[in-house]
Amino acid sequence: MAPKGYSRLQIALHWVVLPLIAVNLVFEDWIETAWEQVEHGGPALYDAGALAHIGVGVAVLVLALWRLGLRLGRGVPDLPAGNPPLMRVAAHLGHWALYAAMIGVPVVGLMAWFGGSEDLAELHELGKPVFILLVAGHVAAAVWHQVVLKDGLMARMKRAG
Amino acid sequence: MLRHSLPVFLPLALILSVAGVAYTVTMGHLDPQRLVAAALTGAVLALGVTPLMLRARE
Repeated sequence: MAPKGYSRLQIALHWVVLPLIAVNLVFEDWIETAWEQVEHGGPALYDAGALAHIGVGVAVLVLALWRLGLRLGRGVPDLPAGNPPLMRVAAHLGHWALYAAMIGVPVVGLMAWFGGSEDLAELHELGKPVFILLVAGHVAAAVWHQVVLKDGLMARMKRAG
Repeated sequence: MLRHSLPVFLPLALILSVAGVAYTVTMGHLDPQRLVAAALTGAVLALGVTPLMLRARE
C-alpha cells in the first residue's frame, strides 16, 4: 500500500538535490580548464573547479540512488484522486525520467572524465538541456496542481506524512 | 543500522573502486592521480548503491 505522504528523509533529499543540480548546470564551465587538459591527452587536472563539478555530480548521483532505494522500499504517495489517466502517465514518466537523468548524466560524466572520452563528454553535455526540460516540466506540473487544480500537491514536499 | 549496512557497503566499495580503476586503465590512463580519484569515486558511489542492495536483499 502506498504511504500517505513522503517521509522527512525523502523530502530533505528532494530539496538538497535541487540546488546541487542547479549549481552544476549554472557553473558547468568550472570543469572546462581541467577537461581541456584531459582532452589533449594530459594528466587529469584536479583544480578547484574540476573538484567542485565532479564532487557535486557525485553527490547528485549518490543522493539520487539513495532516493531510488527509498522510493522502491518505502514507496511514494499516490497522485491525488481524480487526475486524468494521461496526467498520471505523464507524472510517472516525468519522475522516472528525472531519476534516469540524475543517475545517467553523472555516470556518463564520470566515464568521460576517467576514460578521457570526448564522445561521452558530448553525451554528458546533452544532460544540460535534458535537465532544464525535465525540471521545467516538473515545476510547471507542480504549479499546475497548486494553482489550477488546487489539490494541495505541493504541500506533500513540505510536510512529512 | 551500521552493522546491517557495513557488510554490504564494504564489498561494494571494493568492487566499485576496482571497477573504476579497471575502467580508467582500460581507457589507457595510468596517471596515479586519476587512478586514485577513480578508486575513491567508486567507494563514494557505494554509499548510494548500498541502500539499493539492502532493499534488493529484503
